[in-house]
Amino acid sequence: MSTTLFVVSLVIVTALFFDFTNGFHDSANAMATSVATGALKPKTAVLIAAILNVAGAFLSTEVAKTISGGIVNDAVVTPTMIFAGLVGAILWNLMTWLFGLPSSSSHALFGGLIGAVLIGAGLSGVNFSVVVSKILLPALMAPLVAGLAAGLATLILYKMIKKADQEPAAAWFRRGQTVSGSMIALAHGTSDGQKTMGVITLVLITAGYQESGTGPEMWVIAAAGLAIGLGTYSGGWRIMRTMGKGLVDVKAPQGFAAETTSAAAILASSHMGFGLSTTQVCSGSILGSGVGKKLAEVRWTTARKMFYGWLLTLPAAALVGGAAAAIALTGTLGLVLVFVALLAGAGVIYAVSRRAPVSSENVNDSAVVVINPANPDKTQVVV
Amino acid sequence: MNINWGALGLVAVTTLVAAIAVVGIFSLGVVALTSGAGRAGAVPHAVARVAGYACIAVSGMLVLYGLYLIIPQFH
Repeated sequence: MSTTLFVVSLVIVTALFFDFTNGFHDSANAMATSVATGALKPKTAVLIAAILNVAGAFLSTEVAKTISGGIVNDAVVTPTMIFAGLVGAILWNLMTWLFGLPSSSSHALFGGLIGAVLIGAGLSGVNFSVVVSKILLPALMAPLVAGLAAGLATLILYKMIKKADQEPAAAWFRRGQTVSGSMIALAHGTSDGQKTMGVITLVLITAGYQESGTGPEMWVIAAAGLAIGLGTYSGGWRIMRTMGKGLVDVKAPQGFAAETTSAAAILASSHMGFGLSTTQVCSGSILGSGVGKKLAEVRWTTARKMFYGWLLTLPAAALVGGAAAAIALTGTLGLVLVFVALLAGAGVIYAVSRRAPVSSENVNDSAVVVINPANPDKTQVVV
Repeated sequence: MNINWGALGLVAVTTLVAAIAVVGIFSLGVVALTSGAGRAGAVPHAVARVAGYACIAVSGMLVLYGLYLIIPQFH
């Protein structure tokens, strides 16, 4: 096997691994409130989300023209840098999952790429003004816009229906919530499924295995769709718990208002040329639905930790991506070392999560994601 | 620095209007369809029932419009 083919294979496997973490990180966006209110059984919710994610991935296969939308200079990016960026993004996704924190998978990927490009190509490889206009500003605006809209929608809803939390009204809101959650899952599949296809296709083109200007191969579409679908089905229950119970103890009318607002915000942002992160929109909507309901309890300590997580996403993924690039760019041995380190890191994070696992069985039993059950007071991350 | 403030404003206003409109219309439907509840064994008035289902139908049509926006093959 030639070295190029080996590098390309490694990048593809890593890209699919990233797609998987993207799926389980973001299944909470579409389904957390439906799971929390009992609108859908946990397993049913993730099955619907997974199917719609895969359907979305197959619907939208237009090749991405750039990997990063201009955040890094694509002309200087090599497959090894993409690989290092993916490693940074995967480890950050797993870390935030361990702590039960919703965070943007796209921002993690951009962060990882920025770190890798800084090491591989220097300062000129990164367009910092685009970082501000496409990442930092939207990160501030997404929760504000979604929170305000969901807050007003919730306020109006409870003004119109005094007994909205009780049957039979609540049953209607659970139905509505299932529909709006499904819309989010489908929209997510069309945008994020396509991202990994774009990465793999660009790597294949760069390495000369595919004609420039051609669309993704059928196997790439199928593999990327399957990876994100499997990730979504596996559920990411730790993040699901935080979004459904941890930020706000979501009731059916709030869940309906939040999911509808999120769907509206995601559609508006993807069609009006101002990209907003799905995760930040959905978290903002949930917070808004808590503020909008009279006396509803928003756990601001949890919200604050989530905001810190968002601020850290870019630099943390960049740090890991940069370190991975520094080692991987030394040659094939370095590349293999980084891949082994990735597997080891993922294994350790998974092992730690098993001390206090969150599953479809117990996702609604508590609002807290615990890291160390022997000493929960010290390690309790989500209060 | 090239920040598209116009697009940002448009996204914010659209989100606000769309969210309040859909939630408002659906809630109006729920108000109508649950208007008889509370009195024992009561069902909503026929007019309320028709109006209620009309509101739910309008929400359904907005969902179809959302699907149209999501699925690129329709464009």
